[in-house]
Formats: sequence, C-alpha cells, structure tokens
Amino acid sequence: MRPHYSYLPNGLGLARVAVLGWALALLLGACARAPEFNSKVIEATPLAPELRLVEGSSGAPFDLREASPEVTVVYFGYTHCPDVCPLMMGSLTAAMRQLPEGDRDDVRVVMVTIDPERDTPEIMGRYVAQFDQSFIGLSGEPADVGKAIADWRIEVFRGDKDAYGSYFMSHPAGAAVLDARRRMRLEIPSDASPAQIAADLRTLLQES
Amino acid sequence: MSPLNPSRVARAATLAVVVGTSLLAACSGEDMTPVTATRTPAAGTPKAAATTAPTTAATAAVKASAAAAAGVRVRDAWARSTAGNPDENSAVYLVVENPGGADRLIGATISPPISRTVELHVTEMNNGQMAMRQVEGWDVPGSGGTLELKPAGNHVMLIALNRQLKVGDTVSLTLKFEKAGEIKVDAPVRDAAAAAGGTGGGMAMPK
Repeated sequence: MRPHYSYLPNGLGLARVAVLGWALALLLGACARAPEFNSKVIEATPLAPELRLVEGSSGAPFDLREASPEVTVVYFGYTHCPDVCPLMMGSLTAAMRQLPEGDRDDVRVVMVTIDPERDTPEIMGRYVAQFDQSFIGLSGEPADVGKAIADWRIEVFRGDKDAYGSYFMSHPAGAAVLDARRRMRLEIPSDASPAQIAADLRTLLQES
Repeated sequence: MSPLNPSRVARAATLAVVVGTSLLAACSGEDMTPVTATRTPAAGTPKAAATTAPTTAATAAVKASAAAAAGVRVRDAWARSTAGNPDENSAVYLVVENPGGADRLIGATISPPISRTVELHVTEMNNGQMAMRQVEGWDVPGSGGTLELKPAGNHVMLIALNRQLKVGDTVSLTLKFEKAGEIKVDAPVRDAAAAAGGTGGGMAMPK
C-alpha cells in the first residue's frame, strides 16, 4: 500500500522530476544572468548628468546628449597629472585599438578637465589628441566646469601652490561608461588593462 | 523492489548533478563570460613595491651606465611623452636591481635641465581618490632585491618641462643613492598610449 504515491507512474518519477527541474533551474539561472563585466557595474543605471562644455580641438560647444554613439566613456582628470591620468587615457587608447575597426566608431571617449584654471579647451584638445585623434577633450568657463564636476558628483581637491603657482589635484580614479541611452553602466577602475576595458566595451556594444 | 529505492534515487541524483553541472559550465563558459584578460601583478597593484623576489621581466635596451658602485643597477627606464602644452609634467619609471647591500634612492636630477624640478612622488588611492604625495626616497632592498617605479605607483616626476617630450627623445637622469652614490640613466621617451597600453607586460612593448 503506497497511497501517497499511487498517482505517479512510479515512485522514481518524483525523484526524476525533482532532479530535472533542479538542473533546468540551474541552467536557466546561469544563462539568464546578466553579462559579466571586468569593470565595476553600476547597478542602478542612472541617467548620466548633463554635460555641456567646450570641445577642445574645434572650440565648438559640446553636449553629451547630441550625436550619442552606442557607448561613451567619461573620464575626469587634468593635463598636469603626470601619472594616473595618462595611464587611464593610455589604457583607453590601447583598448580602442583592440576593438574591431567597425566597433571603434561606436565608442566615444571624453575627458573632462577638473582644472579649468590651467586647462583651456585648446590645451585639452591637444592633450587628448596625443592619445587618439577621435578622443574629445572638454573644458570651458570655470563656472561651467564646476557645474559639470558638481553634477557628476566628482570629488576634487586641489593641493597647495608652489612658488611657481604649480599644484596637483586629487580626483576619482575611475572612468564612467555610458550606454546608448546615456545610462551610467560601468566604472572602469584605474588599474584595468586594455584587454579588460576592450572586453567590457564589446559586451556593452553587443547589447545594442 | 521499492520504487523509491534509495540507491536508484542517489544514482539519478548523481547523474543529474553531473549533467546539470556540465551544462552549466558549457553555458557560462561560452557567451556569458567575457574574456577575462590576464592581469599581470604589475598592472593590478596600485603601488610599485620594493620586493626581494628576483625579477624576470625582459630587459629592454636601456643604457644604464651603472658606475662601478655598490652593485645597484638600473634597467627599463622610460619617460612618458607629452602633448606639447606649456609647462607640462611627465614621469620617469624604472627598475632598480640591487645584488649588494641594502640601499636607498634619495633623489634625482635631470641634465640638461629640461624641467624646472625633479621630484620623487608616490600615487596613492584613498577611498577611490587618486592623489600624489612627494617622498624623500625609497628603500632598495639588498641581496637581489628590486625597487620598481611604475605607473600609478612610485615615479620620478619631471615638473614644468620647458620642451615637449617626443618619442625618440631621451631623458638623462642622475639618480642619487645613499650608498651607491650617483648613477646616470638614459630614459627613452615612449608614446603615452603605447606605454600605458600594456602596463605590466606591455611596459617592454617596443615602440
């Protein structure tokens, strides 16, 4: 007498059903998982703040909302930064070179100065061009740059000036990556390798 | 035989685990995981570190006229190219090898004086903020120890250059060590992009 199992073809069926279900759940769970990124994922995907400044090489107004490509990388730094800023810009440059040619046009790299006192748009244009002619260097009136820094919640500190008026600044290490809808998706850490950055950019490009 | 024979259930469960796990592995092994780049220790660590481990990095053709001093040798020196803006800063990176007794790098000068000053700096990350701090020197461990100056870590900073550093140029530094005295180093200028492009392994990237 097995009243509890009498409605099943046989008792083992229960185990089979359970096991099959478990395996399927695992499989679906794995495949439905969001793509993995090397960079830090910004889970809340907020819309990127406004960014309207002066583009360095042309001197023309720049608005992040215009002519939006699939992916935009936004990095805040300054040209007198001798170590980490060129490291990040260089890594982004090398990452771009690792992308298939067709993908490069879909990625826009923007560097925004945190030091408008010294970094004029022209200086920003020359600075980013040493890395890649397609890179966009932004500056503008100190008040406008200050607004961008505040809008993007970039914490910036300026060190003391030396006898010649030189100074260094501290600033966040990472770069933000936006998708085609200008949602903030990733934060590239300062020690990311070009291969890691390129892989992340490709993963984001494949979404669209 | 009971339909719920424990051994049969166990076998079925085992099979399912094996199948499920391999399916899982197959699934996540393909499209789901983007290529994880090899991260060299050099690229991953924010600070250059003085280590006593023997270094295996390829030695680039860097002229380090290491005087017949106390065995301190300098290799893989390079300076980062600049954009050509006024009063630019740059950095020089290098590796000091020290088969002899412990020493300390205590300063650097540049000749001809193409920058207003030369300082030793360390980049530090605190709560995601990158900041630099001037230091008075770095210990160079002896008995085969090395001191590595590399991006996002220790560097010799050239402040307020009076000319652009272009690929093909050479920056001539004199490093001052506490015991070994002065050692002249010629640091070739590398393209800012190529130099950063392969932190770690790529530092030896020919350009």
